[in-house]
Amino acid sequence: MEDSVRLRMRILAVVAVSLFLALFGRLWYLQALQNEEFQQVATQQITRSIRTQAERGQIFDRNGRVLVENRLSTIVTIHRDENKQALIAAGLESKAERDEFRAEMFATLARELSSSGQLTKVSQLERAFTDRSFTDFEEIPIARDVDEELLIFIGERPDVFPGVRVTQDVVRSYPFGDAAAHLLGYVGSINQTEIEAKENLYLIDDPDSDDPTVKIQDPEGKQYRPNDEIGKAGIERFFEDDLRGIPGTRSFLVDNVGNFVAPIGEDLDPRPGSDVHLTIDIDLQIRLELELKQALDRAREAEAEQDEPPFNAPAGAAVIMDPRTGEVLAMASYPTYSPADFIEGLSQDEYDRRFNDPFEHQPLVNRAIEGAYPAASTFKPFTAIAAENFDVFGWDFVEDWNVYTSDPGYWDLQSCKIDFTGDVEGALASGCRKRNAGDQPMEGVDLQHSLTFSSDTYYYKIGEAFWVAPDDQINPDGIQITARDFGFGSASGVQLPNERPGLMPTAELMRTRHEENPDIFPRGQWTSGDNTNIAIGQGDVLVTPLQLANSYAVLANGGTLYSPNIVTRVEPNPLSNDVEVTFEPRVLREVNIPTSIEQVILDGLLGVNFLDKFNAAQPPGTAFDAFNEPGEGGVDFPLAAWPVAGKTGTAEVVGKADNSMYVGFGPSGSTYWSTPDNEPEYVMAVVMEESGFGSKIAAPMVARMFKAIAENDIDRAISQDEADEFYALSASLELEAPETGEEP
Amino acid sequence: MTALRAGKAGFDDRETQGPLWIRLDVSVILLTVALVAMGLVVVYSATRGVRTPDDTPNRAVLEAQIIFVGVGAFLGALAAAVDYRKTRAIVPVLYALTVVLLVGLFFFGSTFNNATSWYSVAGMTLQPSELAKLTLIVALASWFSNSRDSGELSMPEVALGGAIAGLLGLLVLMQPDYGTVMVYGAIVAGIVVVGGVKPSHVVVVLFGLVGAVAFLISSERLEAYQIDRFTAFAAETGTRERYNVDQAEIAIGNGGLTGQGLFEGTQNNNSLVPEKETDFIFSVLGEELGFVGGATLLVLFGLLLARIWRIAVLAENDYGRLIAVGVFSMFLFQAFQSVGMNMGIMPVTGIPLPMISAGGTSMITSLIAIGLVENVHAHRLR
Repeated sequence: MEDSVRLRMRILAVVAVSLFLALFGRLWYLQALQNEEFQQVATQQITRSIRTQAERGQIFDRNGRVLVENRLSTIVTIHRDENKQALIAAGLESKAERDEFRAEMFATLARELSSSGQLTKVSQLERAFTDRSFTDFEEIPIARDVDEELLIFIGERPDVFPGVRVTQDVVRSYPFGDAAAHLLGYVGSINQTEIEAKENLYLIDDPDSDDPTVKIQDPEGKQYRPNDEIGKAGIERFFEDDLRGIPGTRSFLVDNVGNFVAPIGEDLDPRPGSDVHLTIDIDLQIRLELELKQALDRAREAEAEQDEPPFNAPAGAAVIMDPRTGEVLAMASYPTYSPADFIEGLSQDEYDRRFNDPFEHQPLVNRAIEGAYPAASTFKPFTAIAAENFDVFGWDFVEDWNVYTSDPGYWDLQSCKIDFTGDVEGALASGCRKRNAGDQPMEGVDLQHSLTFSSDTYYYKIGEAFWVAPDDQINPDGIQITARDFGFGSASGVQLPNERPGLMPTAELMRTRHEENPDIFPRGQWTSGDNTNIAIGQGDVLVTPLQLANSYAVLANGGTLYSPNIVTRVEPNPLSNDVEVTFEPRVLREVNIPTSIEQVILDGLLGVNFLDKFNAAQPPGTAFDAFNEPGEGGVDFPLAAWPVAGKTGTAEVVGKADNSMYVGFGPSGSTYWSTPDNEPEYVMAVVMEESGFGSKIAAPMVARMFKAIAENDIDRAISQDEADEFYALSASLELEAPETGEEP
Repeated sequence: MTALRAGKAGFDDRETQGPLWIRLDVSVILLTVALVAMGLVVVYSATRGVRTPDDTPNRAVLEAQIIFVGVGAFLGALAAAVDYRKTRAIVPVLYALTVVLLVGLFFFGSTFNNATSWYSVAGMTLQPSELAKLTLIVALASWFSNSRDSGELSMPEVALGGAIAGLLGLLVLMQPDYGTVMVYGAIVAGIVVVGGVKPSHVVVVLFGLVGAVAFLISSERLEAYQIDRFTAFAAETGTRERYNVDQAEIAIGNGGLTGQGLFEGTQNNNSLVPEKETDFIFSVLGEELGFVGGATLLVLFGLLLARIWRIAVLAENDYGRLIAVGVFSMFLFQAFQSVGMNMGIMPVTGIPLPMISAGGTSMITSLIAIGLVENVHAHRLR
């Protein structure tokens, strides 16, 4: 062989070797270096997992009546993959052709839905169809609560509506309509923030890893995925982890075009969530909501005096508790909303119009726990207890609690050291003169009657004494210390979201707030005036209606502060592994009510509603009309059998009409009022915004409510199901009627 | 002796003597048997169509393939037995017949996948462009070895050689079947390089370039993503070709070092790789038998090519050498192109993997080619 041929053969060999090395290199890259990535992709390509939502737990009242349940709703869904496959099978090979078909299909569908009573836009349907949070293998809901007749219309036209189905979905149902909306809350699709907040739940140790920090999702956990339902407010939100069930999963293999091939592993059936039993009595709840609404209506009818702000009475809240256990029996907030409106979901515009428009007064806010109001005169019993606790009674210018004094209708602050005798204008202008409401002078005022008549001057003196007395004689923070014992200034711990703590201001707080933000808080120095203001529950003393009821529950039960319970138990579904939880009364602390004045305060609070028979010269208590004079907007209350101890409050709000308040408990009683000494079973607090005097508006409302309770006159609430049954029954009776009657 | 050796059709007495079966290169036969067996197993896996335990395996393609192997083995034996030097005279006839077959396609051919490349007779299909590879090899080998006898190739001689290949290529291009034309190109390149064109600088540069690329890819100098970018030029994203390559790459990557197991490949069983029993057969092998299986296949091909190269070196005359070089070039290019395409380093063209892919004409052509080189080897010098 010639040398040149030998060389040429070698060139051929080198080329071959080079090419084979390239193949080996690539093979190694794909199979050794990239193996894990490719394995993942390969697995994803052929497995599909579909989740079935588990039924949410139900919510019951204290008597086992269901308040929130689940019902079947007729919905229209579309299955993207089925739709596509059907269109391809029908010969629409290109995407453009299919899109064109769909545009027409959605137009027809929107027309049909709209004419069946569910107003639907084409854009709505298109948006739902392209929602990427659903996979191509899920039924995507595009319209809810539609007419069942569509089942036939759409079912008979698979060629017009390929992949579209009319099916049934489980949605929340509210047998008592809007009742207890704020308590129950509502559910909606989970948002990104909520997904992030929940993503670290339901993690367990990875069995394939020794590293304890490596976690995997518990296959039997309650993980969320986009479009999952989640509690957004109230009990639905607070007990979300209990109410939510464990979704079921079904995994299967698919082929290259996504057709079902075979199941993988075992299907996991969905397991329903736990039921939540409330302390609420739905009959009482519905009555309370009605009374609150009617009282606000009445307040609005009253004419304001000239140059005074009108009684808009836009909002209010009321709470009824059992002082013996701390259970919440009813909790109302006005204005309210309908949880059922959230089933279909609201557009942002609709949401803003209903809930963010200032003229709607924030219907989603549960004012009973989220509304922080000035405590006003309802605070006075606690100032009195503070005075006794810190030896203020009998100090310097403060008379002892059992000494009758006369109240000129005002108090000139001692710290001003100015004699205003005869100079009313000067006294008022200086801010040194603190006045009673209406400058009302009063005679024969001791501690008991200071509560009965609601003398401000009596408490101005106590308030100033706390501040001006030397610190070694009287602790200047005494009022705040006592108030905190009764639960003011901190959240009560009721099982509801968004509870506000209220505010119990102190000299320290005023200083730090001023230092941090002098523009908003221009004053940093606490004065006598501030102390006199908090003594009558004004000056930034903010309380929630629930706190108010809870603090009076301490007076009613003789000294136990509870953390209010709104739930008695969480009862797991038999199909789940969840555990039962019961809620016993939760004692926060035993509060020391000085025995010396305990009965005096009770007698004073009873006197608020009574006419003082021992001292006929005295005017009646501030809520006498409400409990005795039907002609004056009150009721004829069975006080002898069911005595009520209470306190009115009228909170000044700058630029607006006063907030009208009343808080009381019953059945109470004392020897002073010649009534049997009962153990109070109910405590109730009500706050009505911009509604005027507590005695005129709030007190009559409480009187009505307590009267209904005392006389056992609470109607049994009728649920929608019962109403439907009753209607069906009466309709059938009417049909039979002509048969029994004879023709004339 | 010299006179005898110089004789055109003279038989050298240094030539290997004895019965044919002793003169054959047994290793070539063993390697071919191994590759064919491997191919049958993989073709069966790609076509048995068992998705669930209830499915019954489909053996039709396997059985047809076995028949093709039988026919191919018979024709291959024939091609090995009759001394290639004695049949050289009928090469022009063979060439003419091939041209007729290719031209006839335009009148009687069947069209699959937009290419009119097949004759369909009684349910069987014949792809003349495959057989034409053999015609091209013997025709070019004959022409260039004839020319070499008169020393350096003259311009007209080279041009006529080009025309011999060009006519066949043109007819196949018109089907159109670009992949097969590329194989023709490889055959021409191999025969021309060995058969007489001056070893110009171009060849050296070409060789240097290929060597450098191969070195880079096989060394650890490049990051994985760089290798990927460097090698994944095959098709644009979003096209059907890209989808095929993506799925083939996923299948091969899914195989890992030891594979998913025979008949266990999910990409294969879910038919995610199109044309997996023909053009993309290597993806099935790679997924189910892994790097071990893929490397075994490449080693078998490598050894086979090495033996064919040796046959070319030992050939008794230039005609035989160029036949071996043509077969060598054909197998080398087809293996590189087919395996490379499956792994995304070569463009997507419809070329079967010799002796592995399902397809009768390809199998028969490959086995005849093996027979031809054995024939050359049987008449080597001692």
